[in-house]
Amino acid sequence: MDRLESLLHDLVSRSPEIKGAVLVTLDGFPIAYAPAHLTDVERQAAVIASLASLAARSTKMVSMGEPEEILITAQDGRMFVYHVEDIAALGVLTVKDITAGLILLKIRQMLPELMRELKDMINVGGGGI
Amino acid sequence: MAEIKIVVTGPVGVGKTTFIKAISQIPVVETEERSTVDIGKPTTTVALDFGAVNLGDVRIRLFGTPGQERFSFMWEDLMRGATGYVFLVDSSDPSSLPKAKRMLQFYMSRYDVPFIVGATKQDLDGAWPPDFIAAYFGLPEWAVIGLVATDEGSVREFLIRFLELMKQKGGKVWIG
Repeated sequence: MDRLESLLHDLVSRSPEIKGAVLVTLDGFPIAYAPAHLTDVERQAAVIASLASLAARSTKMVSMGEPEEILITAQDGRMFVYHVEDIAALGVLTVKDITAGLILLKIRQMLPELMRELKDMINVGGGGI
Repeated sequence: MAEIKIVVTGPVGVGKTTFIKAISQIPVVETEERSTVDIGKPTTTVALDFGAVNLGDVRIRLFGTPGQERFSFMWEDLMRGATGYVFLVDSSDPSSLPKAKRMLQFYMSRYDVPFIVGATKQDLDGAWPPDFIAAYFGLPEWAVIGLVATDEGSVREFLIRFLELMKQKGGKVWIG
């Protein structure tokens, strides 16, 4: 398991409310995800990239700057999407009844580390993702 | 003023975003992101493009789709309520046509609204003329029109022709 997957794995395994996490390139390819048995990852990656891009257009259009967090509340769960700077987007799927503050804290605490790992990956791979 | 929704679609790299940017009278909403794989250009549309133009007494709202198949869920969403669609193909790259034909067949089988094929990049050397492309797609010659998507005049003429055809044929543009 690489470092990015292990970060996502830690996030998911420590919080039973979190059902899955998918890190994607901004053009819609999966980079890493957890848990390992998460299904339909390729399509999820494309949708997360579209959401991230649309959110950025929406907030910039009304002069709100870059979106920090997108939350979608659905009948059976919630989806959070984060821009990981201008490199990637992270989608996190949770059950509906969550202690939002706690979950958000866990995700936000992980984001800087995720960013560092991504940057390392790009440097090692020569701009590879 | 009549208002219609036209979807601009076709495979990756044919000039969909360029087409909308050339003609739109409002600032275009773009969702271009840097491509991480080689698709022959640095960026790619990941959600939609949006622009609008008044042509005569018609206001056309133009919705551009992503070209890459993994974003095909957006095709369906954007086609909702469309009066018709413009299907762009790259005339200068005949090797892209088999894939374009499959994508067009997908659209034709799913959406029972008028469409027109735009044969883009007509200004490039070796570009296939529109009638060749019509023959390849099995469409009547009038259903494929050549254009240069970077040129506002060319895009304007193309859209005016599409509006005329929709009026004349009143329905399925692809039936000759």
